[in-house]
Amino acid sequence: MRVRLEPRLTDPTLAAYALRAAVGGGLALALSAGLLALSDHPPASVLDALVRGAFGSWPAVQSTLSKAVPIGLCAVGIALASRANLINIGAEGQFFFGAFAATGIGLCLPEDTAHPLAVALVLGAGLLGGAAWAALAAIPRAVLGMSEILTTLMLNYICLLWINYLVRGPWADPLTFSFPYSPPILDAGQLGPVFGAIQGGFPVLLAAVALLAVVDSGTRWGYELRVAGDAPEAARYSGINAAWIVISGLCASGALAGLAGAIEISATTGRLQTGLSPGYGFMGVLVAWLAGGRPLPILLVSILYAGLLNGGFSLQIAHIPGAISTVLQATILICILGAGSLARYRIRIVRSTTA
Amino acid sequence: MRAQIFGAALLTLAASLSPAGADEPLKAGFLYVGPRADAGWTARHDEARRCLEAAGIKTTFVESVPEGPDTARIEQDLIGQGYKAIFATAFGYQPFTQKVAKQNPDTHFFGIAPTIAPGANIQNVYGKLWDGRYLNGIVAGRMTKTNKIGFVAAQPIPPVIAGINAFALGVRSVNPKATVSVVWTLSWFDPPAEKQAAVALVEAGNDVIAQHQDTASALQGAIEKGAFAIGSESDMSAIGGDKVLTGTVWNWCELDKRLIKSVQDKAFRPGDYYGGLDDGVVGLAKMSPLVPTEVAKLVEEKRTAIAGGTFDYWKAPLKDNKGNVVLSEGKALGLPDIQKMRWLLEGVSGAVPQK
Repeated sequence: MRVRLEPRLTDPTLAAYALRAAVGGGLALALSAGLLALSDHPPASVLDALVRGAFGSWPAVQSTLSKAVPIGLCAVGIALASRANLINIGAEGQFFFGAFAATGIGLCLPEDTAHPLAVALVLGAGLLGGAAWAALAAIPRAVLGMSEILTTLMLNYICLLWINYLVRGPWADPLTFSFPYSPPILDAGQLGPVFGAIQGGFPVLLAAVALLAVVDSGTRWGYELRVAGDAPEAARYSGINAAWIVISGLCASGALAGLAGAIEISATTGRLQTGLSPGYGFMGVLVAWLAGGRPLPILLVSILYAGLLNGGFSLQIAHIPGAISTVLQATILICILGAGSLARYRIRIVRSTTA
Repeated sequence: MRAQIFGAALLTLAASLSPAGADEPLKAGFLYVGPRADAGWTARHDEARRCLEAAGIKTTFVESVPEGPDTARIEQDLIGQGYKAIFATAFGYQPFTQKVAKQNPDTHFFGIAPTIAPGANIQNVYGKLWDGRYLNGIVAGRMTKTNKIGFVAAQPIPPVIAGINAFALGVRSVNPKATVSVVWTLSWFDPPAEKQAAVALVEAGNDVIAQHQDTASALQGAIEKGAFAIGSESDMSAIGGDKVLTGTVWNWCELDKRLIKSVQDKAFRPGDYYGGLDDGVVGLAKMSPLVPTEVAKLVEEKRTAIAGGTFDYWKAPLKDNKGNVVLSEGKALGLPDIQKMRWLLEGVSGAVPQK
């Protein structure tokens, strides 16, 4: 007897998804509660602190929504590339290269640049920067068939080293006593918050999610991405340019991650620094997978994920050791990830016909 | 799942409308850059926090907070829960603290000096650690047999560089033949690299290893290899025994109490505060029984003289290790020079990683 994991033939409905996520969530809660009880922390009050830190007050909601912006944008990009069966593990590097390009423009523009123009140029530079970094993986894939999984992954490390070099060397701010910061970008290039204290990039995330929905449902390019991904032979037969699909798909994916980096520069730090991202590009992979690549679920999952991260810090304020909050986060993620996978795959028990 | 989020958001709105009472006793929230178990920098700040608790001040903490945008979110979270004195115990928190401080004029913030992001409700503190290192240097200079002393250092930033130079001056004051060799780990918290650096220094013939790192790993490496070690940040003799000759120690307890009192008494003063041997912020770790009493006596003499302001070991003329005069005859070296220091003293082998 063997156990096999088979892809389901039909896409599950949203309701089926929600049901499985709820079961996964429930399981996660039960496991976490057991874990907490074992470590002598009252489960109810700990989970309460987690939720309160994530969504428990208007400032908490604001900071969770703010944190969802870079995660969500990276996830939308990764989902977009996955339409064409392209696996982009390089959102982290594209994020940082976008941040680099945005900072470069932000440091060069004259101080009296008009605010909307400056913000547009800084964010635009991020888009182009992210796309350019993705192109380094896209072109070899299109021309030589080099695996984009490996190249996008490797390019992350190169980009991080590049940023490290910049902020410690040529771009180090002389006023920060050698701490690895670039000088601040111009004031006019800084994106203010919306609805109180929600990061100014939040509407951009909403727009990106909407854009993904539009690409899916109403554009020729979206159709070509999917055909090229699902049935490369059919795509070629019908005259779809495979190289164009690879390059445009990956570059658009990188552009969104780069935009996320530029938004962090413009709306959060105002300058380039190491530690700008605690791994948003990698979280994006997880979120895109959990959400099954669908636009609206990406938005929701990125918000929940951001809440989980912020809630983890609140646990510490409630005197729960940081290590326990990390274990809790991991437990919750694994359960939901498992539930999400079961929505797309089914377990079949195969009676072995004697070999 | 969606309904849940919106429900939570509504709940929160209601919860956020109940402000904390004005006459509530002052509570202190701490942000740590490393884990509390680092036996170094963070451990010392946590010691001070427990000291505040013992004095009746309610405190909490969040550990392993990277010097990035999360800083602001965590500070907001702490303030939201009624912590009106924030101790942000890493230099790189400053720009984020500044933003939060602007939005919360009635909260007081204590960061790590020198100030790069000032505010009316921000005071940054540090200590003249280099004075302690000079005293450590005297011990090292007298205890070395090979006349070769190693120094494992974190980041090439001015306070670390000044500490190495002061240490070398202390060594040379009792042993003009001894040299000091520096190895940079380029990280505050990288235990394997710190240990490896110490081992390499011992293998190269250095028989006393000093350090400026957040953990005790370099010291452990040195002692395992049979060398003497000099600790940093906390009293590391508990970890290394008698082979730990002495070391510098941070004592934040009394200072933090004074800072809290300054808020309570409405005597808060923004700007920089540098403690030292005089007020005890910088102290010496226990002297090992292996150190001869006359050496211990000499150290005590110099400590009193430096603390009393009657002795300045930065004596002109000084040359850097490339032969340039860095302090010409008749000049004195002040705090502003130390804050900008980017040269290593003559006789110190090693280089400051250059821009």
